[in-house]
Formats: sequence, structure tokens, C-alpha cells
Amino acid sequence: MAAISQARPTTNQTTPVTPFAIPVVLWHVFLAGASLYAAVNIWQLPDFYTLGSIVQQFLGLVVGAYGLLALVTAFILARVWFMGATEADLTLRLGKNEIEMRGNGRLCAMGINYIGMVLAGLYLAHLLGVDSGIDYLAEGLFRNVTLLLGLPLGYLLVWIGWRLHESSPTRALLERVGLGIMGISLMLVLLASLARPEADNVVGGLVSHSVMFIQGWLTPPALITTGVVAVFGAVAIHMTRQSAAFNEKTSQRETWQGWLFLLPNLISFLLFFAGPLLLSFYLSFTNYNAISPAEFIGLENYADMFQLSVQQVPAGQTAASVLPALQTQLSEFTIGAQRYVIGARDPLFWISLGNTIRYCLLLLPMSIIPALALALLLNSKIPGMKFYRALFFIPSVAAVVGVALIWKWLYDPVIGYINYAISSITRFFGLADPQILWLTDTNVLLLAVVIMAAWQAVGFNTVIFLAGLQGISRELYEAATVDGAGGWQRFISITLPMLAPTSFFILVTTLIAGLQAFNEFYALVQENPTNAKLTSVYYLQQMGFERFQMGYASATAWVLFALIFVVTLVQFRLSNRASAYAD
Amino acid sequence: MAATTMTPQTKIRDERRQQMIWLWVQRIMLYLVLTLVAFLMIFPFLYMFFTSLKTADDVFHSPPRLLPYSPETIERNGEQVPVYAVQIDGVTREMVVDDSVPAVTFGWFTTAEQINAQNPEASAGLIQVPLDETTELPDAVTIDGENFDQFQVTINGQTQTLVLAYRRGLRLFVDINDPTITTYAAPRNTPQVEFVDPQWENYNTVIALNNLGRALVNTALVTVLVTAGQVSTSLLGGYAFSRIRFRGRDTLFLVYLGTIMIPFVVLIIPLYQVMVILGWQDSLVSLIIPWLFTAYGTFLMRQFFVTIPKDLEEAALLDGASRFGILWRIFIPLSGPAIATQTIITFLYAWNSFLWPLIIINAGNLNDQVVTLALNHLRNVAASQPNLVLTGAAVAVIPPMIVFVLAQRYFIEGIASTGLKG
Repeated sequence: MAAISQARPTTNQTTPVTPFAIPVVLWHVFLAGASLYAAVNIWQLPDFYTLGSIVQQFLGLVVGAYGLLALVTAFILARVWFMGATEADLTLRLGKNEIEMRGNGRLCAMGINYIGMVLAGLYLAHLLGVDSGIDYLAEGLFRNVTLLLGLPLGYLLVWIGWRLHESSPTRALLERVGLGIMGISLMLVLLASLARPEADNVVGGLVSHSVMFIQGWLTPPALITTGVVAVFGAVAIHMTRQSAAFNEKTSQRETWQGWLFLLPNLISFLLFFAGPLLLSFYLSFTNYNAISPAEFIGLENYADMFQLSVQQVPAGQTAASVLPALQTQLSEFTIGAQRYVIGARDPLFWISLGNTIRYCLLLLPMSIIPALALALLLNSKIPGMKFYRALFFIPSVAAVVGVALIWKWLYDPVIGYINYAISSITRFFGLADPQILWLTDTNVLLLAVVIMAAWQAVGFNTVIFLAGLQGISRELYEAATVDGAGGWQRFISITLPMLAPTSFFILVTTLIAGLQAFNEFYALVQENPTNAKLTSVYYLQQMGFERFQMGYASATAWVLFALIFVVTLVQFRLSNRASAYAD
Repeated sequence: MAATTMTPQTKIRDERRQQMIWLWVQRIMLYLVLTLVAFLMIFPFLYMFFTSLKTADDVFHSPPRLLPYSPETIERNGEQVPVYAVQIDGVTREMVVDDSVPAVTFGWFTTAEQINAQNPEASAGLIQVPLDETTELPDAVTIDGENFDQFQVTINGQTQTLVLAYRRGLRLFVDINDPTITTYAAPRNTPQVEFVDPQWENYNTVIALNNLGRALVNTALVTVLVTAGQVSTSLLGGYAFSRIRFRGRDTLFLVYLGTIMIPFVVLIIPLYQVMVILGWQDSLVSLIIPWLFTAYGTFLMRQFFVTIPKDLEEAALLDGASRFGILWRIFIPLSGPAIATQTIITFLYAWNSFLWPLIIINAGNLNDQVVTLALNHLRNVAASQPNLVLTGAAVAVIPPMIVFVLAQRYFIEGIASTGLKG
């Protein structure tokens, strides 16, 4: 390979024809035909998993675009190879831009074939049952879990080896033996797992499983797919090797290399992020319920969600009688002697949103102020601070579901430690014991969840505050001390403003996490029968997966996203201002 | 203090000593406060751990106590019987119930003036006498609307007419060391002799009860695969974004950055449908493959790679090294801390994830559940046995803690430098 920094000038040289030119062009023509045929068929499919026709039309367009690209590529390659078109012949002028089509044709060919190879490969893996293979693997690991003890044992040996001196022969020996034990135990577990879980005899199981795997491969669909993967791969590699023939430029090389590196990332991004995101946006405008075909209903979901009305209640009438049809009472208030009632089409949406916001407003001070205080305490050079920092961090490491079960019993009114502590303190001061029913009283339920969540978040926030504090230069404090500023003054005039970016960061991450709160509520108070436990995501989960109102649930998700988006935007604005202030 | 006789030197020394003392007082206060907070942070886990070692009865002991206790038993006539701590004349004795003697009904008597009609057990001047040694009078007396039976009771040879406050069957207790010492008491109200007795078998019980062992293996497998997948796609993507100047890079990078802001809830419903279309619902693959893409991880790796000097790789490129070779031989060895940080954070995220498994794995599917789901299931299966529920919580919570303790340095420093929310 020559130096990459030298770009070759545009030449009038023709491209040498490879012996595979005819099959490669034919392959692209075939791909184009097949994709366009598939696109038409996908477009016409009667129904696609009840998702409605728009989804399959979109898929049809994507496949059609792929086919068109293949057709264009075949055309360019044919002109380059069979008609001796030079780079100059194939350069398009669009205004001021020159688009060099010969090299780009090759890049297109590579792109089409690499993507095709990966997709066909994934389909092949699916045909061969690799996805359910993971379940087999888990089953096998479970049955042979004792073999995995080799891993910690081997690691222990390696670890002991690393304690020894660099040149010691025992170190190398321990390292080798340890790695060997780890490798062998891993191999054994994998072999035993592959040997079908039911098999008593590992060798027999391996043989029979391999036979089944090969039999699965020898079916027509799997064989054809294997062939397709092979052709895609062969064409892709062949075109990659044509760099000199197509007079590849640095920018072109970087382009295919860059996209190739991104391919694994990008495929999962498109399949499991971008695609679902579009689908979610589309579904939010449908009445999708997973059973009957989705129908496009425009903004109806959003309109239902936001439908609110305030009505006067004349004396002697019930609130329900004055509300419009389909609305139920959300809350009521009185101005002077006049009673008013607020009705909503979907009161649960508002209740859950209200709970979520209240949760956030409580969580912010309770998880940030103690964290700031702890960070200030920990920000000194005396020994032991790292130990305390690590201890404070431990709660944020644990799963919320596990933590919630602990707190559920700590909150227990009879045997829980929290009420025990409260009643001990009140008895000491001679006050009445409040006997709080933390998880059943709807007035304190939210507070109970917030206390648990704050307890989990404080250590995390402390660590970030501490990093912010350690970034403040000592000179500022020294200068302030020389000017005669006291500890409190220094805190107000140096620490707080300098911490503003950190504080904003914590504020926003806490707020964004709080707006999406689900685990804390579901895990701690799922038994509570009232709506006090509903957060926005909890409501979405119930709407989508218990009542299967998936179109409506998607719409609530987008409303939540809009809320988070606004919060993030405000944060960007404010933190820019804050860091300008800190400078 | 004789301030007048002080020389300037001793005054300064004195001030310094005062300063030192004040410093030490401050430090001790600081340590006290920090220890108190640390206790609050750790206490729920201590509670979890100790409760997981209790028996089902011991959990409900009120007031709560940390250590797991079991009642002491002793063999008597070929049977294990509980030992009670009975106070006789101010001496606490270890006693057992004498099974050969049937229960004797005792009455508690007092005068009609002293009886507390609302709460007879709290009446003044109660005297405990076996009912057999008294004679019941035919007519009852009514005090504050309550009826009380009247008895002829003989005390110290004197027979009086007293009111029966309440009656209770008592058993004969015998001292286990000295059989001549006996007394009557109610087993239900007598404290048992207890000893600290951790129930380690709770862990076996809970692992067998809910297929929690399988859930642990599943979680470990999913976590390892997701972590390995995320780290490798992030390394590849981060390298491309930081070092290769390809067309469309900056646009795509902006798109990636934008996705960081998008909450997962927006994706849940369509992602569920994608899983249904692929036939992956209710299987472990649905917990792995959709999670291999991470915009945040890619972003982090890119940010780290940008700081690596370019000279190294340019020399290698001139020597004809491939891009992948450069990533493998130059970038990966240099990015140990970044990889460690991402590994740990992804590990915790995958281990603790709950909403997605809850949706995609059926509640009844005990073979494909992960620990968080198994815990959620366990709370219903063992709703009345907090000891087992908390044993399950310990099983789910302790592995990430071990990982945290082992890799604590990378973890906290990584969090501090990136501010990643797991």
C-alpha cells in the first residue's frame, strides 16, 4: 500500500477489466431485479403483523431503493468495464460540485454487497436457530455450572502470579497454568453445553447435536441463503481489491473503511433503534392494539390525551352531570362560593404525569443537597475519604428491584426498622407515635419511593460533585483567603458558582431519569391498588402491555420524550450561561 | 491561666496547640458524621443479609432485631422440646414444659372495687389461683356494663368473695437442671431461650424455589454477551468516528449524539413488535441482540481515542498496517481504562435491567427469566416469607457489589470523568 496522503489526480485511464466483470455486473442486475420484484410484493402484502399498510410500504420503498442502487451500480460498472469509460467520462457536474461516479460506483457495489452479506448472514443465523441456541447455551451452562469454578480458580493463580516479581519463573508458570485452567474450564462448559442439555453422554450429545445442526443446514432455504451470503461476500471482497484498477483516492478509501468499521454498530442502530423509533412515531398516530390492523387516526391519540375542560358546578348538581361526554373528573376547586370541576378524557394520564413531576420535584432536592454536603465533607486530603466515597456509592450499584424488596420490609409498619426508629425517637421525646403506613397510605407513598430513590442516587451524585470540586483551582481559594473571605463566603462566592456546570449536569440527569421512573414504583408499590403508584412510564407499560392500547401508549411515550427534550434544551441554554459565569 | 507571666513564645505555642486540638476535634466530628452516613447507606444491605439468614418465624419478631435467632431445644423423653426462660423470684431459669402434666386453668381474681372493666388484665391487686381450688358463686356481678363471675377464694386460710378478671390455661414448667423447681406459666407468653442460628439453607431453598439458579446463569450469560458486544461495537465505531475521515461522518455522529437524548420508553412498543416479527419474544436473544448498539459507548470511545496522539498510527499506516491492525495493536492496548469503565458500567446496566425483560419475557417462563424478573416473581410466590424474599434480593444484589468492590477504582474514576448515568 502506498502512502495514503497522496491523492491521485483525475486521469483518463480506462479501468482494466477483471475476469469476473461479467458475473459481477450480472449479479448486480440480478440483485436489482430481485429487489424491485420483492419491493413490489412487499408493497402489495395484504397485512404485515397488523402494523398497518404504511409500514410495509416503507419497507417496500427501502427495498426498492436498494434495488435501484444496485441497478445504477450495474450500469456504472458496465460502462467502466465494457465501454471503457474513464473517470473523466463519468464525472457529473452539479453546479460547482464534481461527482466522480466511477470510484463511487465501486463504493456503492461494496456497500450493497457488505450490507447484503450481513443481512443474509443474520437471516442464515436465524434459519439455523442460533437465536434459540443462546437458550440452549444457558441451559447447558446451568447444568454444568460447577465447571465454571475453573474461572475464579485460574484467575486466582494468575492474580497470585502477578504479585510475584517480574522476572520470577514461578510468575510465568502461575500465569500459564491459571490461563490454562480458565481456558479448559470454559472449553469444557461450552462443549458440555453444546452437547444438548438432555444428553447424559457428552460425546454422544455432541455428535447428535452436530448431526442435527448439519441436517438443519442441508435444507433448501439454509443452503440457498448460505450461497447468497457467499456470493455477497465474494463480490464485496472482489470489489474491495479493485482499488488500484479504479484509481482509489484517499477520501474514497477512508469512506469505505469508515463505514465498514461502523457496520456492526450501524446495523443494530438501524434495526433496533432508528427503525423502531420511526415505527413508534407512526404508531402514535394509529389506533394500534396488536390484534386488529392499525388504522391511521391522525392526532386523535394526542387530542384524547390532552382533552381537559373546566366546568362550573351549579349548586345542587353533581360534578359528573356538568362534564362533557366521555370525560371524568380529575379534580375540583372552589373560587369564592363557586365550585369548579376539572374533567379529562384520560384522567390517568394526568394523574400519572402529576405523580411523575411531583416525584421529580421531591427527588431533586433530596438527592442533590445531601450529595453536595457529602462531597464538601469528602473533599479534604485526610485519609479514608476514598473508602467513604466507595461506601456511599454502593447503593447505586444494586438493582432497583432488589433494593425495593429490602425497603419494602424496612417500611413495614409492624416489623420494619423505619417505623421502629420513628417510634423510638417519638417515645424518647414523649411525642405521639405517627405509625406511618408508608406503602399503603397514598399520601406518603410517593415520599417512601423518593426516600429510597434518593438513598440510591446520593452516592452517585456525590462522586460527580466531588469530581467537580476537585476541578476548582486552589489558587482561587487562596486569593479569597488573602482577601479575608471566611469559609461561608468562600463557599458562596467560589464553590457554588464554580460548581454550577456540575450541578446542572446532575440536575438534568436526575430529572431525566426521574421523568422515566418506573422500576422504583413497580418494584416497591406494585401491590398498592390506587393510582398513586402510577408514573408516566408505569401508565405506558399498563396501557401498552396490559391493555394493549399500543398506539395510544406510543403517543404517551412521545409526550414524555417531548418533556425530556425540553428539559435537555433548557439545560443546554442554562449551562452555557452558567459556564460563562464560571469563567 | 496566668496570662500576665506568659512570654510571647509560650503564647504562640499555646495558640498552636489550641489550633491543633481544634483541628482534631473537627476531624473526629467529620469522621463521626461520615460514619453515620455510611451506616445509613449500608444498613439496608446489612438488614437484607441478616434477614436472609432468619427463619420464617424469626422475621416477624417485634421489635425488629438484626441477628438471626432460633429457639433453643432440648431432648426430653425422645422429643425435641423448646426451652423457656422463666423468672422465679428474680432468678431467670431455663425450663421446659412438663408434657405429662395436663394444662391447669388458673383464674386471676381481684375485688369488685379494683377491677378494670374495660381491660380486666390491667386490674389492680390481681391474685393468681387455680380454678379447681375455688368455688363459683351462682350470680355474676355487673361492673360498668360488663358481667364478671364471682368466686369463693381461699387465701392463706381466709375465704373471700372475689371477682374473676380473666382465666387462662397454664402448663407446668420444670427447671432443666433442677427438676424440683417447678412453676406454672403460659408457654405463649413466656420468652424462649434463643441462640444465633444463621439459616444458610435459605439460599438453597430460594435457588430451588423459583429456578433462581437458572435465572442467575441466564443473567450472567446475557450480561457477558451484551458487555462484550457493546464494547466491541463501541471500539469499532469510536475508532471510525475519531480517526477515519469518511463522507457522512459528521452527520452520522450528530445523529448518534441525538439518540442519547431519546428515552428508551419511546422504543419499547415498536421494539416489542420487532421481537415478535423476528420470533424472539420470550427468549434470551431478545435481551442481547437489540442491546449491542450504544450511542453513548461509541461516543465515549471516540472521545477517548481523540486524545491518543496521531503520530503513532501514522507511522504504522505508512508501514502498511491495516486499519484493524492499528485498532488492535495500538488503540486497544492504550485504552485499558476506557474499556474497563465501559465494561463495568455496561455490566451493571445489563445485570440490573428490569423493564425490558419484564415486557419481553413471559411471567410464567422460568427458563428464560433473569434475576430481576425472578425477584419480582419471588415477591409474589413467597409474599409471606420475607426471609426468602430477601435471600433472593441478596442473590441478585451481591454479584454486582463484588464486581464493584473488585473494580472500584475504574468505576468511580470513570463515572467522575464521564458522568455516565447507568
